[in-house]
Amino acid sequence: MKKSKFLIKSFFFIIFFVAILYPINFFLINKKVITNNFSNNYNLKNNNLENLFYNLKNRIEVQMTNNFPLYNELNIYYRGIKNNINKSIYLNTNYNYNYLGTNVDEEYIFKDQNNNYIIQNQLSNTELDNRLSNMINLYNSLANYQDIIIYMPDRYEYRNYLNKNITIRNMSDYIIKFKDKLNDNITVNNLTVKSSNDYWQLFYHTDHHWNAYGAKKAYNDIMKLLNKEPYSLDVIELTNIEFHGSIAKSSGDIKEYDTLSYLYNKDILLPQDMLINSLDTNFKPLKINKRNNLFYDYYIGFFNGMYPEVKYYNPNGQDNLLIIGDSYTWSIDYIIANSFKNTIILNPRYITEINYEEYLKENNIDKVLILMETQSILFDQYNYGLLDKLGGK
Amino acid sequence: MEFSSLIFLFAFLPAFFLTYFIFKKREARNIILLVFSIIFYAWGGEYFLFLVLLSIIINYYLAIFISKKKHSKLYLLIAIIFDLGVLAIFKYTDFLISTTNTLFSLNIPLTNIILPVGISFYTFQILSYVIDVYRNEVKVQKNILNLACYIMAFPQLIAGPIVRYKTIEDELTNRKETEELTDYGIKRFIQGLAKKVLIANNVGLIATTIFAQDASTYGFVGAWLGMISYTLQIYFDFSGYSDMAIGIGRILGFKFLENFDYPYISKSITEFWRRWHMSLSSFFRDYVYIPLGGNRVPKWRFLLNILIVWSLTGLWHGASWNFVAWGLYYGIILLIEKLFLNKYLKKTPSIINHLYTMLIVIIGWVFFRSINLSEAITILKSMIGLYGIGNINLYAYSGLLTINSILAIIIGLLASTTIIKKVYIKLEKKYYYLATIILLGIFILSVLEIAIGTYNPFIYFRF
Repeated sequence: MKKSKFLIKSFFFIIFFVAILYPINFFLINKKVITNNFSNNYNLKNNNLENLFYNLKNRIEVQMTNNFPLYNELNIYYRGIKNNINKSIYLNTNYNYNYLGTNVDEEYIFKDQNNNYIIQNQLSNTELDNRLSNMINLYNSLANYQDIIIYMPDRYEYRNYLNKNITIRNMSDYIIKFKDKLNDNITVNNLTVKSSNDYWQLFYHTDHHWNAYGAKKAYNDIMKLLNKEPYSLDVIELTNIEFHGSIAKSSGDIKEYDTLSYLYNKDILLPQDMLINSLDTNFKPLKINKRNNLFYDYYIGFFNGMYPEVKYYNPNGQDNLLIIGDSYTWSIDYIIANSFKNTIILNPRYITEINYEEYLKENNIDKVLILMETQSILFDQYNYGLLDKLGGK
Repeated sequence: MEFSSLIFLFAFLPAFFLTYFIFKKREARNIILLVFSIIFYAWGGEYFLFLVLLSIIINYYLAIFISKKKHSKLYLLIAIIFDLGVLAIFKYTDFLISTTNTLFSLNIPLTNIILPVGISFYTFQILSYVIDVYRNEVKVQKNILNLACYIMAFPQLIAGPIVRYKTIEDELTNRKETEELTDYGIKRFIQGLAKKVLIANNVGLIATTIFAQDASTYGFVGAWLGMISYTLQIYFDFSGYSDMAIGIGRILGFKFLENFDYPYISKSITEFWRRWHMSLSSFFRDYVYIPLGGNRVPKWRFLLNILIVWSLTGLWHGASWNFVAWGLYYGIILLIEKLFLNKYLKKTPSIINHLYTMLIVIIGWVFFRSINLSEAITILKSMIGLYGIGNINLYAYSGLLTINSILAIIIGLLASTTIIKKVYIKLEKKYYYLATIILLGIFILSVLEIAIGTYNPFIYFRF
């Protein structure tokens, strides 16, 4: 064989081989020989040409990434090797934080000497200041139409008193600035914890979300803010499932996992018992089968709220609530909905532009709650475009 | 669509090569190239596809009118006004509004127009075509598909190099895809991918982390570490993209001209700009500087010409005053070199010349990297130690000292010179299969980084 042919054949073999593995992978998933990763295959609601094109692109890109041949195995070994090498540098130099990489949202992941994960976005301080100011203006303008309650599930990064060594960026300063500049008819509260140990009781260790204990505490706080009597809730732990949270997965720490948990009370209606989007459906089932895929996201799979707009109808309720909320909301929305007649959850990641004022009128909204990851509330850090989507009017 | 994405490498590229090489006829291959280029462009900017197509159609007819020699100057003027007008509307409207607002204390709302992907690159390509037709340097292209193929060919469509029509005029209809070209093209493609994924992204992490802090907190160490990382990032990012573009072009039989020639080994700024983004420098030289009279004019005019060209070069990179400052900075330094410094540089040792050049380049990147002039000045103050040595712990606990970043800096510094290239050529001559396996290993490693890493768009896409 002529020498140059070796490179040409090898190169084309690699790209065509991987390309062919994709349909094989899909086929095996279809035949349930292997399990798929959770795929974010939501569609935008309006079927205009722009959204159709976006949906198509999004679907293809997500499938290409999620179904890269041996993605999970490669992830485990490749990240594992890198992290172990870096760990030796980290230990030798006695640093406070070990950098582990970035997650899908491009946030940096660090691990402190107590084995706790810390995540931080890549936005510059100037950008954070600008965004904070924009978000304050947005909430103040929304509050012209209806009083607002904002509830923030603090991440570890915000609590200086939990970890005095956190100096990557003092996020708690931003909360102080935020609270100072909001109008009087906006009530802000955040999950308060007093010690590092308490904190890790309330949040998953391997994931940025709160667990059922944190969700329960938040639920009680929120019900107080909404002037409603909270239900007494039990925490159910799904002990047969190893929940590898997104932070650990992104870091390649496959030995770390949590127990997935959810809230339950025999007297409350579960999503499957309520009318959701006017359909009596298994739209949001709180049930899950154990998957043999290490990288399956059980939090998303279990709470399943990846829709632009979800409406609960509870015939026993009286007033109507609008929640602008992300994945933190999903773990308690069905419980909150038991105390209202109509509960609407708008997911800022997936909604398109709405006329906020008209939306409140059309749905006879009595109360508005904003419940999202704190940095989304403060900075719209994942670029949901809240300003455009809600602030147009 | 990014070259360094799974969808490009394992869906777009295989589908394209398969379809392209099935057909034997040149016309058919050009149509396939055009169709795939349209898909490639639409993937990242479907809104603006019509703008590129409109630009092609208008310039196609204007070039035909120009070639008929009747009112050719008028048609050329229309073409220039149209092309630069579109570029100005999309790229500079908000810049003009915000400048007017600042100067006259007004509050005109910004338009927030989205910048079409690659508009700066394809506008210059199409301009070079109509101007060259006017100058009789190229024949007018009568087949609109061939012209569209030249403008839209996906390898160079969105981030250069700026390919002149005369470079590929013959190749549009008479090129040959040969084994030698394919072999070379693959090598260049892998080299570019590795530059982007393995070096630029990893050093970029250091720069991004440091510059996410307040400028006044970097200190001396942070400012220098950040700027050196950024210096490597921008070179490997941009030259990596050019390598990939040249590589794919070569596989398809196009011989795009080089865009970079180891700029960081330069011994003067004059030399640096002969080696950095060569397609842009030569564009400004041939279509702006020389038509203005170049250096064959009175001294004051020559000085003015240089400053005009370099302010435009700065402005091409971005609609902001710090880009203009960056351009003027180089204009002034080039003038200083031309007027008297060059004769001293010839007498000083090479190492001093290298250090001088790199110092000027790094300071230049400060303006380029900064959001505004005040941030640039704060970074410069940090670099001369006015904010102290810096919080060394900051760099430690931010986890910057990872095996990836250390290796990326070391390999980046070596690959900025010709050392690695020379070693590879020697290795390839002596142990071809070993060298090729190493190259394929680098390709696989780059793919792994892409598959496992996150989205890292090329810096030059925003221009």
